[in-house]
Formats: sequence, structure tokens, C-alpha cells
Amino acid sequence: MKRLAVFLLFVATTITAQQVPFERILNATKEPQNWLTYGGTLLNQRYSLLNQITTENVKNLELQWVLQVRAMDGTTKFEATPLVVDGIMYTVKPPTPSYEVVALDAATGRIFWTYSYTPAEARVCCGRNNKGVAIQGDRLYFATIDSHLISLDAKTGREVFNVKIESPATGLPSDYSFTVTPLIVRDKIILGPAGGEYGIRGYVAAFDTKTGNEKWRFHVIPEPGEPGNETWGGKSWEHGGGSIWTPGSYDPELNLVYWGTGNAGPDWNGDPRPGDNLYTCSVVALDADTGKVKWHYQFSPHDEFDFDSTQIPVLADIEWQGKPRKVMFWANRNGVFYVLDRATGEFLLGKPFVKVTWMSGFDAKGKPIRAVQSSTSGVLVYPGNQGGTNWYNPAFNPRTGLFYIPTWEETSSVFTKREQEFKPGVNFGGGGMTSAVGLTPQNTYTRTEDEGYFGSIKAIDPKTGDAKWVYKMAQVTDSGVLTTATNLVFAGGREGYFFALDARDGKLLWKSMLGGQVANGPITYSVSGKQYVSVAAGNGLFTFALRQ
Amino acid sequence: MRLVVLVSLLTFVAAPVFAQHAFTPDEIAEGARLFQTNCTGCHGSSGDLVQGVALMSGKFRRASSDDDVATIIRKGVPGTAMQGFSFTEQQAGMIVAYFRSFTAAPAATPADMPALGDPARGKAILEGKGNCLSCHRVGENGSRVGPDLTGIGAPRPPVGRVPAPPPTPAVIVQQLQRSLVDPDADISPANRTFKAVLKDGSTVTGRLLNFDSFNVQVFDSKERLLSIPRSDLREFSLTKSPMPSYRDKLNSQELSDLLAYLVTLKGQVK
Repeated sequence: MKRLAVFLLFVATTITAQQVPFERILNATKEPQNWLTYGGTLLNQRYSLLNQITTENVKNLELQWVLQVRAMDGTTKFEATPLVVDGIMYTVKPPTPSYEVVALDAATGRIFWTYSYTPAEARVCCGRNNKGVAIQGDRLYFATIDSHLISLDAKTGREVFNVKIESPATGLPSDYSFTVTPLIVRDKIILGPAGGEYGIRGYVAAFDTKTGNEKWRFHVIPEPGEPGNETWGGKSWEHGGGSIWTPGSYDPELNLVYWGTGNAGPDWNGDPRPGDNLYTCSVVALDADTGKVKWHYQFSPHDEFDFDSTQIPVLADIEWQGKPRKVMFWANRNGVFYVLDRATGEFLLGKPFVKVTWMSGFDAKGKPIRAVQSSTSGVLVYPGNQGGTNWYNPAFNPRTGLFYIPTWEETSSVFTKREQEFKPGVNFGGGGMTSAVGLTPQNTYTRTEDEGYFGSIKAIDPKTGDAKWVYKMAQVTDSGVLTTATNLVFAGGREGYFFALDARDGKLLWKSMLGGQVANGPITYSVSGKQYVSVAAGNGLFTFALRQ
Repeated sequence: MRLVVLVSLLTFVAAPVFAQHAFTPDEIAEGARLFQTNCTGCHGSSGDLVQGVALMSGKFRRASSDDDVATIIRKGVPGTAMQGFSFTEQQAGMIVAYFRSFTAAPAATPADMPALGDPARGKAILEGKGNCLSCHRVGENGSRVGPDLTGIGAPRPPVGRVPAPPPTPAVIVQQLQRSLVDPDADISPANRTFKAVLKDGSTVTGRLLNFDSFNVQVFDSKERLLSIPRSDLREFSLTKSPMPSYRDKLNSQELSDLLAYLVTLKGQVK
């Protein structure tokens, strides 16, 4: 009867639960059995206090259940980070051709309900992806590649609202697509569109959680009259890019939301857009109530190498040079690790975490000194077009004090620019590039000098930017990282391995071959006192727990 | 313990008027059966698998009358894959009537259609005297335990293995009336109530959402999504609907008011 007692305990604890007021999300660290946001909490550290799985017993992990997805097209990946609320997991399968949002029993994988939505056609550069649903109250929220914002009743899967998000005209309405997990701040759903290769004008917008009505909009590319428009020559701002495709973070004390923005358009030729091209390749700190920009920091001014700053802002309160400080860690696609003051945007540290040749250092204000320009004959740049890292989430472990980055090491591209005017329906790249490794695992070597590349999970000491340890993989990785209070790091890679490392020294403690590339961030949660670890690889979501 | 899953048998609803022949619902159902047994290999169960042919659309390239269609069914189309079938004229006619049932004009209000009262008064009854929101939900109001009423007045194709036309307004009213006065008479499989008795004697009632050999998933009377190990169950069985009959709880005027409101609910209530 022990099992029954456990079950009844679970029943008792869920009688009044399954309601997720914003206060629960604000205090998510107080309920480590749940996974309430994309990054676990609003800080997006992807750090868990659960302690059942340890460095000693992690070798006893075994598969509990798998959630399968229908076959995806070549560039689409199962990127969604699931949420877990009081024993129930919510996640979204990519559109194949329909999205399926599911509520399932987090202990067995059995499905309670399924909601289906078939999107209209959309132009997507890099897969019909979705990074997951958000929850607040009794509602789930997710956005689609055909610009719909959909809210569901979390208990029944019934559609509560389904609104079309309107975007500035490019000529093709399908140029704007939403792949991001929304960020919920009180009564607002905050998100922005992808489409940086199609001449969009990016934005971050807030919508009412009850109705889906728009509350505010921040244009990543300022129009004439707005500060920052002077960083664009002529009318180049109209198709300036600045897409959004990774979730933002929130600091409740400062009431600021932080978003990383995408590359400027056209991608590889900066000539038609003289200037720094604000606010592309930046982090912007926006007032959560109004959308007004409080500060910004531009990682890659006048970018010509597709260095989207669409990474997760990781927030932490640490001691910095002897004083407590609210900071933000950022491992950028451009290959540089940054520490910023998140109240003011002050640049505190910048240091390459992979081989970097596009810049040679920083000026006194923390602006990078550009070392190479794109050219019509081609220029070799490290890191390559896919970056030293990309959208896959890093993790910060306050206990070890280390920041863990999924990296692409020693990768490069040859970038070639060419003149291109914006035309609706035509990819607005402004040139091209060749890379040794690319967007999908099918890529093979194109240049022998790149054979030295590899992937890694790299532990950085954020106070110095120096690497503490490196766990090397033969192939690169599109996996996020999870870390725990028991000194574990979970991650995976394109080879299909999901593994656990010792967070202190990077030693491999356990691995499992899942037969498909890991392309989401792992999570951990617990149901009835049993801790689980869940990760997506290939066409499945795999969930592990200790052998009993 | 063993779960018995009932496969719902398609019940064909009345489709009273047809263009050229009058067929009874039973005859149309027989036409559906003949079609599903003999024709779907080429035409598909929705009748649209052969390019350029949509049997349920009411439009036929090679036939101008129902008799023409019936003749094609019996004789085939020379030079095409459409062979002749050895149906009687009556059988071929029933198949055509099945095709026609998808596009038949709704009947004028039949004599047995319940009268509709005042929707505003019906809304007040639903939210007040009828106590309907203690189990049902309309928009964002009410409970999730019973079937959601937000779109209860919208025509939906009947659930079943054979495609069937959506019910007419009169049929919707009749079904709603029957649900109000005799709730156990006709419950869709997803809305049936199950009762679980656990080994400690406690009970859980709710709708069955999913099950496998080791667990059952239930949406229970406290609005919880529960997954219960079968090893913890002493008993798991279908039980009567918790919905009371309103035959004696509401007078005929109140019932017709409530019906009038329910048929306005087409899924757009906020």
C-alpha cells in the first residue's frame, strides 16, 4: 500500500493546485518539483535545486517514457522546452503539419488532452520550430509560424483565444513567423517575430493575457524621429531585420524585461545600412509596463556575419569585484562571453570563449573593435556563420559559480557580400557564406582546413571569463544545458548522446544514446517524490529517472 | 479490471427532404453502409479520393439526375476504372441518397421540433435556477467537469466511422431537449462518467481521457487531471451521468427558453 499512499498524497497536493498565479512564477525557486518557465525561473539560469539525482547515483538513470513526434522536415527540430506543473507536463510538438499541444502525466507520459492547430504557409529560414508554451493562471500561451497567438485552457485544452498578430508590411505576410516561447509578466504576454532573413522590421510586443489585445510594441528598428534611427543610412531601417526567436528574462525589482535581438538585414552586406544599426544584435532592457527602452547594449554593431544576439539573457545576483551586483551573463553567437550590469547596461566584462577573429578587443566604453569587414572576394571569419554558440540555452550554477555554454569550437565561415535591393519574397541575405559545419547534421566538410572543429560544453568562470573545464565532443551541439544543486550538468549533442557531467570538473558520469540530435534544453522535475530528467532528441522527448 | 471501450455506432439523423426521391434515415444509413463496403477502395471514405470527383459535393460530371448517378453505379463508366456494381435500383438509390444527404437543404421546421422560447430568459435559467454552470462551462464561466456548452448550438458532424452530414437545426434542438430531460439516453463517448474505487475505499468520478495497461487518465469532479495506476484501483466502471433530468425541475416554458439560449451558443462566447 505504500504506492497507494504516495498516490493519495499526490492527489491531496493537487486538489487546489494547477493554478499558476504570477506569484508562483516569481517564486519558482520555492517549488523545484515544477518547471514553470522556459528557463525554470524568470532568471533563466536553468538551475534546479532538486537533489535526488546526484553525482554518485546518476549512473543509475534509466528511461521511463518517450513522447513521439511525427516525422519533421529536414531543418525542423523538436526544440520545445516542456513545462511541468504539479505532476502535469505541457509541451508542443512542431507543426507536421499541425502543432499539437499536449498535457500529459509527467510520471508516465500518458496524454490527458491534445490541442491541434494547422498553420497557414509561412516562410521560415531554419525549420518550422517552436520553443514551447508558457503558462499563467489556468491558461497556456503559444505562438505560431503563421503569426497566431493562441491561448488554451490548461485543464481541458480548449482554445480560449486565437488572435492574428499584425506586422509591418514586407510584401509577404508570411515573412513574419513566431517560434519563440512567450514571456508572461503579470497581465502581459511578451514576444516577437522571427524572419531576419526576409527583410522584416522586428519588434517585441505585449498582449493582454485575457483577450490577446495588444498593449505595447517596441520596434527593434527605430523609425525616423525615434532615437537610434540615425544609425541607419537612408531608408535601410525599413527592412532592417532585428528578429526575436529566443525568450526574454524578467527582473521584478527593476520591472525590466530583457530581450536579445537578431541580425541586421541584409545579413552579409552592411554597405546599404551605414551605421551601427540599432537595436540589432543587441540586448534591450524594456519597461515591462510600457515597452519603453531603458538601456541597450549592442554586442555586434553593424553586423555582417549573421551574429544574431538571440540568446537567453541569464540573470544572476553575484559578488562583482567585492560588491553585490545584479548582473546578466551572455554567451553570444559572436563567440564572446559578456557580463553586463542589468540595472544600467554597463559593460563589465567581455572575453572570447571560442576562437574569434572578427574583433580585436573593446574600446573604453565596451564597444568591440572590429577587425575584419565583409568583402566581395570573401573573408575568413571565426566563429563561423552559426556562431560560437547560438539559441540553445546555457546554464548558471550558483553553487559552483560556473556558467556552462554549449559551444562550436574552431568553426569558421568565408563571408562574401554582394549588392542586393530588397524584393518581397526574395531572401534578403546580401551575399553568401561557406561553412565547414552548418545548420543541419547532414552537412559534411566543404573545406579541409576546418577539420579541426569540435563541439563542447564549456564551463566559464564569469568573474574572469576564463574556461574552468571543457567537455569535448566530436560533433557540434544544438543542445541546451541543465545544471543542478547536486553538481550535475546535463546536455547533449548532434551525435545523439544525452549525458551527465560533474559540474565541478566536467568529468563524464553517465550517457545514453538517443539516436537523434539533442535540440532542446533538458529540464528536471519531480512527481510524488521521484525526480525526472527530460530531454528532446530527434523525434522524441525522453524522460529518465533513477532505477528503483 | 477491464475497461470496455464502446465503439459508438453511427446513428443517422433525420434528413427529411431530398431532391428527387424520398428516402428514410434508415435507407440512407443502408446507403452509407453499402458505400463504405464497396466504394471506398477507390473513392475514399469521404468520397473525394478520385481526382476531379467529389461524391459528397452534390455535383456529378456525368450525371444530371439522381437516376443518372444510380445508373452509373450499376453500369459503370466505360473506359474508366469505374466498373458496374450488381446493386438493385433500390440499393443504388440509397447510395445516391447518402451522397445527397451531405448537401440537402435543411428541412423547414418539422412538426415535432420543440418550440423555442426567449433566449435571454434561457440564459438567466442556465445561470440561475437551472444551476447548469455548477457542472458546465460557457465561455470563461462555469465548471469544466461536464461537457463544455460554449459551442453546443453549432452543428457538428456526428462521431462515427462513416462520414455523415451535420445535423439540422431541428435535430440539434431535439438532441438538446433529450439531453435535458433524459441525460443518460445519448451521451457521446468522451462525456461518459466513470467511477474509480481505490483500494482504500475512496472514490474518484470523472471523464475518462486516456488509458493503457497500467494507468487510467481521468478528468475528475474536482477539475483535476489525474493519472491513476491500475494497481491502486479496486474497481473502475461506467456510471450514470451526474446530470439530473430537468423534466420536472423546469416547466415547459422554462425548458423552451433554455433551449432557445443553448442553440445560440456557437463557440464565440467570451
